[in-house]
Amino acid sequence: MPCGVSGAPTRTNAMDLTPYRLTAEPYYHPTGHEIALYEHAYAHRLPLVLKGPTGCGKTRFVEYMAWRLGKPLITLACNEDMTAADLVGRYLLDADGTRWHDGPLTTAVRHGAICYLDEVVEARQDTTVVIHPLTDSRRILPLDKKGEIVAAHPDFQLVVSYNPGYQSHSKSLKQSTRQRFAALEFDYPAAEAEADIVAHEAGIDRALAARLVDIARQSRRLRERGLDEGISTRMLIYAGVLIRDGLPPVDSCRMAMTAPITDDPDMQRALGAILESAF
Amino acid sequence: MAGADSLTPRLAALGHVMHAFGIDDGEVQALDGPPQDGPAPRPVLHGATLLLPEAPAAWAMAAEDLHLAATLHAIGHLRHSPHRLPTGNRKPMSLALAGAVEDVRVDRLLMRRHPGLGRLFRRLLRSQPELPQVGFEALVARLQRVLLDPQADDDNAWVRKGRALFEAQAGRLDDAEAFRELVSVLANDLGQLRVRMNLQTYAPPLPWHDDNSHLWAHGADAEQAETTLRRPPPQGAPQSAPPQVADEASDPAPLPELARHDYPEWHYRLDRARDHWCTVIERAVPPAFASAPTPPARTPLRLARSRRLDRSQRIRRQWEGDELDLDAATEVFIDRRLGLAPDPRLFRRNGRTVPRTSLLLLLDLSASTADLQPCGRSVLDLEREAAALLMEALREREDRLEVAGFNSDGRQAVNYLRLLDFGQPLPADPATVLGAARPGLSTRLGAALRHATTRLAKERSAQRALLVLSDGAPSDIDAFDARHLVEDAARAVVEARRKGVRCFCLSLERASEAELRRIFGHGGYRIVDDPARLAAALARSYAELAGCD
Repeated sequence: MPCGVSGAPTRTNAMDLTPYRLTAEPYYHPTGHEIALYEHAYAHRLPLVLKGPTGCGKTRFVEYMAWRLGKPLITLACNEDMTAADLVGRYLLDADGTRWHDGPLTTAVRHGAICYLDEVVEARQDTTVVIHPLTDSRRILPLDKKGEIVAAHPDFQLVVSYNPGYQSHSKSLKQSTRQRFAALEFDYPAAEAEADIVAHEAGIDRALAARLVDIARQSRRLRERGLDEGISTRMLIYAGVLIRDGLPPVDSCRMAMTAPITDDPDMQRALGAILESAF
Repeated sequence: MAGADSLTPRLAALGHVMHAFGIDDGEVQALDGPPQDGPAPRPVLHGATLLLPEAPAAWAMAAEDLHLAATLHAIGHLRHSPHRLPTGNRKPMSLALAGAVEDVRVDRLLMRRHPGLGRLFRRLLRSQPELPQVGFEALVARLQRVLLDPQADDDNAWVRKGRALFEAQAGRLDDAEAFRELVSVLANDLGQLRVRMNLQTYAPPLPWHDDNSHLWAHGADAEQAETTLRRPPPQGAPQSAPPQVADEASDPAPLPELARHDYPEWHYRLDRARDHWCTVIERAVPPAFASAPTPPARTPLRLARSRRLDRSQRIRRQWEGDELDLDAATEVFIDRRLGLAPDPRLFRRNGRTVPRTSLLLLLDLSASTADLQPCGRSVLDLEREAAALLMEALREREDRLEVAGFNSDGRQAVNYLRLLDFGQPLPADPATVLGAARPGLSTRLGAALRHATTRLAKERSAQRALLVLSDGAPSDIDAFDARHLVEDAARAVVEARRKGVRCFCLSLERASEAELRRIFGHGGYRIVDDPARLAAALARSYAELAGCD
């Protein structure tokens, strides 16, 4: 099988990754020394896994770090219908015949971007194994259909995220995948910090933000009673935005916070009661 | 309008509310109907359990609002109120007034933290029936009204004085002691006004306020008076449930024996397995066995379809896919040469198959499964119901199912009751086979797991899974070290997983969570607190075991 080895430094037609560069500083409120940890991981190009509940700021953190390091960021939301070809690329047909089209992962590997696979456990396990050669000392991506081995650009780093979730069994990473990553654990920020974040992001006053955070923390307690996930920081920001627009707080919270998270009627009643007591 | 029918469906949600507000073991139950001639029924707070009566008919309010207010008021008591204060030589009227002031203090604290409650309380107050002018209860009611509703006014001098005294302390709401003084002043005034209190008919005027029995440490008499509370009636269960369970627990005649198998047992102190340590006795169910009480009809389980990529199936001529479909691509070029519009469906992708799963459902039949759950049904009853649901749900599918029960009487007699074998056609009514499952004896889980694994190992399905329904940690008459059987079962699970059998446990008992975690590992078990959610938990466990995403 003919194998050409190519890497971005030697390539003349390096792709322009400008659309993937963040132009403005994303707002990020650190909750610990995760920024320093990330910088050290990036210095050695260690693949990173970000673990944490949904909507707690994992994606925002990666955006912030990409901006801080001045690297382009290619984000991919994983889903169960995603195949390896969606990551690495495929042949397409044009007027002259077939033409190879790099997938987003290949683009990041070839041209030096941070590739962020969001919710990686949603992808099937046979899809995630394509990242294995990239996440050890080889740092290569074999494109077997094309017969090419892409050596990773020096700037390339792989970051994945997932939600360890509530006692789930089937949706977890294989050990062979897990052991290739360094991990940063995320959780919802402490109450004070979370209120600051919600106030800043939604543009609402601090007292209202603190009230929303109170509701979220009450809902997170209900995980022990069978709620899959509590109300996330992201949902609080949505609710805050609706309130800032002038919608009544109870309606905003129901629409952006309590109605979406569960279909269980008992939980809905309990969350409704929490809302009623809050405003 | 109000009634038990409106309360019962809300109890679980109100329990969740207590939990969300920080009362971990908070629970809300229904209180029995009131005695005919006693005071109006009020909620009772007993530990972290709130017993709610039906809403009083005289108040024109939504029962839902009232029950929520009562729950939040109880949360306030649990958060802020002193507990079991000595009554000293205080008179009943003084105690009642102290309780009424404490109720308002708690409500005001809650309103300060949760502003929505103020609206709720005021809405309830507006539905209050017309208050009489005189009498202790009326005065207390009027005082509470002006304290909870800033817009309310009252022309009674005592009520006005009470309001002024209370508001003077309102900056120190957190301090229960700060309100003692004003209670004795107000009680003294009432004495001078010769206001009498009818001990027989007095109840806190606002129906969301509980009877405050938790505030005071009365004498031994009061201890007994407290036991007017009771558990809610078993839902849907026949009235004769307890005797019937007792009957089930009695030693049944041994079922016919099919075979005996010896299994090793892991001794963690020795760090090795002892061979031929346990004997598993397979027993069969005689065909015409008495059927179990038919479980109340529940919604059938809806099981997720397994979706697994199968490269042996190639779906051609797709709009999109992983690879070009070469035949289609060739035709595209031919069409182009011919000047025709080519068919753009030129991709190929892999299909999906439904891998067959062999599932063994293992029911714990130890004596403890005869215990009644808070819902009024026994654990075994719930296990049978779950098994019946699963049997019904799998009727239409290719998956193979075995249902077995186990209990043990020492290491030489671990009974493995084959209720439904792999490949055996499902009976028209699953209850007929499940009726043979009777509670008794102990729980030697490890041996049962090993035998179930052996049964599963003979299955040729693509996936093999073992689902255990249990009510607690393993135990047996000849195991004196509580850890021994836990470690043995954990070992059995590891061995099963090595043989490619997925193991999962659903338990109805949170108390033994530590043991379950040791045996089945993190993510290998789920605790179902609410039996009503058992069906959902079962469907989800099945989906995970069968590899459905």
